[in-house]
Amino acid sequence: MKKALIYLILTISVISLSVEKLVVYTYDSFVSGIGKEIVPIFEKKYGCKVELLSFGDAGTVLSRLMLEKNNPKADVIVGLDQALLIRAIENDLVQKFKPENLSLLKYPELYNEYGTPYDFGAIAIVYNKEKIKNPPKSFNDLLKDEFRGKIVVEDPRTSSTGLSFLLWTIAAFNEKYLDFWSKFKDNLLTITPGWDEAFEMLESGEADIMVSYATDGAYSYYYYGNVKYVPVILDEGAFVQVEYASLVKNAKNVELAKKFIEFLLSDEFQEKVPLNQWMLPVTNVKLPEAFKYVPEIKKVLEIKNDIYKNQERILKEWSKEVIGG
Amino acid sequence: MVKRSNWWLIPITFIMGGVVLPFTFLFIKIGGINIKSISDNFNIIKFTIYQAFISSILATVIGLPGAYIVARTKMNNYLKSTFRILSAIPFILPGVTMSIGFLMTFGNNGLITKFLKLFGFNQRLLYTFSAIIIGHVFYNFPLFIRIVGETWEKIDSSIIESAKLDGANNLLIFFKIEFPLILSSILKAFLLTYVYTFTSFSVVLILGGIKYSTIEVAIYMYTKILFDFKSALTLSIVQIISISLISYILSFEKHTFLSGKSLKEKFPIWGYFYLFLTTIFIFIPLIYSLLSGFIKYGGGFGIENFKLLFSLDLKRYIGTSFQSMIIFTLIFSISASLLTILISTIASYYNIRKKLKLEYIMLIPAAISPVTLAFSYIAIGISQFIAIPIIYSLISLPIVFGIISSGWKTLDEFSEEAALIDGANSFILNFKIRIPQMKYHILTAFVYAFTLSLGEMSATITLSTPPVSTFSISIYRLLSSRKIPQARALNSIYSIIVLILFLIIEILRNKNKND
Repeated sequence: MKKALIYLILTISVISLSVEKLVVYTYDSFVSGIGKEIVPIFEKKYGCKVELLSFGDAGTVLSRLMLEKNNPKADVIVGLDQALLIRAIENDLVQKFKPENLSLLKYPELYNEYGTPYDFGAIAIVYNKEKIKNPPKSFNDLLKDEFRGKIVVEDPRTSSTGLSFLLWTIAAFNEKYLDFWSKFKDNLLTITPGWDEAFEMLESGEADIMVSYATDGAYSYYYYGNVKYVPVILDEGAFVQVEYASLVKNAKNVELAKKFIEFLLSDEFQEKVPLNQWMLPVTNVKLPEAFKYVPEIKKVLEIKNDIYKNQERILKEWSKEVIGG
Repeated sequence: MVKRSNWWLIPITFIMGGVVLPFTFLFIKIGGINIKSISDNFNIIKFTIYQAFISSILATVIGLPGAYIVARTKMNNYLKSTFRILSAIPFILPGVTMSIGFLMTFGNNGLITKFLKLFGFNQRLLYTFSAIIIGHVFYNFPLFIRIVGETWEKIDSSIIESAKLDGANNLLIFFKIEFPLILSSILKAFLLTYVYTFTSFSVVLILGGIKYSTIEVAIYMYTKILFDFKSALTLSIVQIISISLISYILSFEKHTFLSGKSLKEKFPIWGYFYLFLTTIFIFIPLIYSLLSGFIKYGGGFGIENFKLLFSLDLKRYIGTSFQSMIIFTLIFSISASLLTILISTIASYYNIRKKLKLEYIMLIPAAISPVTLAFSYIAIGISQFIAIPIIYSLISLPIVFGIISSGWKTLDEFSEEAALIDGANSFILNFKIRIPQMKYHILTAFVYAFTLSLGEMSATITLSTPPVSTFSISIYRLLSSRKIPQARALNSIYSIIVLILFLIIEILRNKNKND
């Protein structure tokens, strides 16, 4: 009996050693959403085991990587956006990689040598169409008196959505973004710590306009069959949030990690992006019907890299202008 | 009395090992602090201290009459029980749930707003400094009902009766007799309120509008947006120092023994007014918060959210099956609660009986943002199975310590001495005399520790990796997958569990009193 047990343990350990294991760090909703669907496909294809680990949001994942820097457990990190990717590069946490199937990218300009884009989406102003008859079309419209006390935004110091919106205003106004905020703050009802609280305010009729995502309309159509909260991409141009997958520096399983990143560009993965991630795919795959409610991105606003590097200064300027301290 | 006693080392070791050591480790790992962050955030630090003081003073002013009516008046028993249960709940509600309640009450279309408009009152209550204070009073005045009320109820009626015979009026009795006896409880509740409002986050941001912000927000920003751990740690240290300093100044224990039954006065006229006001400002938002699961996506009431929740492939969204999620939640919360009670019982024994000033040390955990603590555990490499229960236990330590302390105060030292003379050993002393007398306090402490653990979100998210999932993470994961209706339903289930737990202690308490 005892012997049999020892044999069993031995066999199991031999099998588990012979199967390669890829460790992927990502945020929660990736694991629960698209991750669940694509991991089995990848595992079957390459005869390996993929361990998808999540620690809350992408920011938390990055800090985890920072704390494990000398002894990284992850091979791939999935979900860094532009701002976070720059942090990761500055801290020497990721390495360069050019996927072989890079030509599949519909928008090659999204590629960064340290990160392969796998989806993207735009920040949008979302309004309650039952309450707002004359919705804002541009940033200047947002300053109109009729919207006074009707808008909520997320705090850029605590929310990635809020931070993206702040970056959007910088992309639209450059150095003059604080002038916009000094007027805009009079129209704000309040700032919330995160997206959820802002959405609650929209839902409870407390606010009529919030900062959210361009795919909100598609989401609401898909699940509830109607679009009560309508997204608008302001005329000045869209601020696009790109999500990257990167090879972790000193990763143990480099070859498999590369295969995984390349897999993210495959049709198998990209086709699942819209309805799981509620973002836009980066390659030429067909979009589901609900996505006709996503406003078209006519012009993409660029942001200089040094803006990302100076986030601390920007957040300070912003708090000084808006909070006053 | 227990002779050879170095048991006080246990709580000290727990705080040292659970908080100070990990913090020191993080400090070394990230290479020091950044003093500049203090001057950068000077205004925020000032505001944090200021609002915490105002909030604590107001919570005292609102809390004390409440403590009086439950402890010293002949209030209708059912009314009293309802009041006690409802007043206990705000304290353990998560921020999002609370904000729904406030919006539905004081917001644009809120019940109270509409009511006030009937009388031509159009002033907005939300998004002002007052709203922050109302929110903080809502969260913290229960502490006064519990901690002060428990002590007040034990003031022997004969003391007050004899004072009355001597011709003293109620006011004089209050200031000369009762106040000195309940002062240390008032200070304890005041301190806890100060600590919790000092580290407040959602209430200040959501209810206060755009002008206000606390140190906790800055710490969050440095940790999660800027990855400037040095500045985050510096501000955490500022927070710990401000809190331990004030608690050191305010903490004192007078050697009093209270185990009588207090004199019950006639329910006062102002009591009705008081109940009316607390109903408006506290219970209406609370009821809305509890019912938020029944508010449909897009408006209206119904059970759609629950239908959606139970038809959802939960495993996919919460990372584990519903059953194992419940098991993880229970294991973590129960082990944390037991640990907290053990530590608090030992610490408050020394605090009250031996006059070791352990109180301000027990408050330290409340001064630390759970996220920072979680990071330091990751830096050391402590497994989530150990880290999560320890953090839960640290979070509930200050309040549990407060509750168990009231318990120690009601123990009759003379009967303990008599038992010792009769040859009782410390086992008999603890299990036959002390624990039976304190069982209600221990139970209350357990429910608080348990529900606080159940509701903890930020540290759990940072620490847990699959297959571990808890109630709070499940709510978070549903929210982050935009499953708002399902998250609301789960949140209401959470609130209902809490409600039931408090109902149970209330029933046991009444039974206990009738025994």
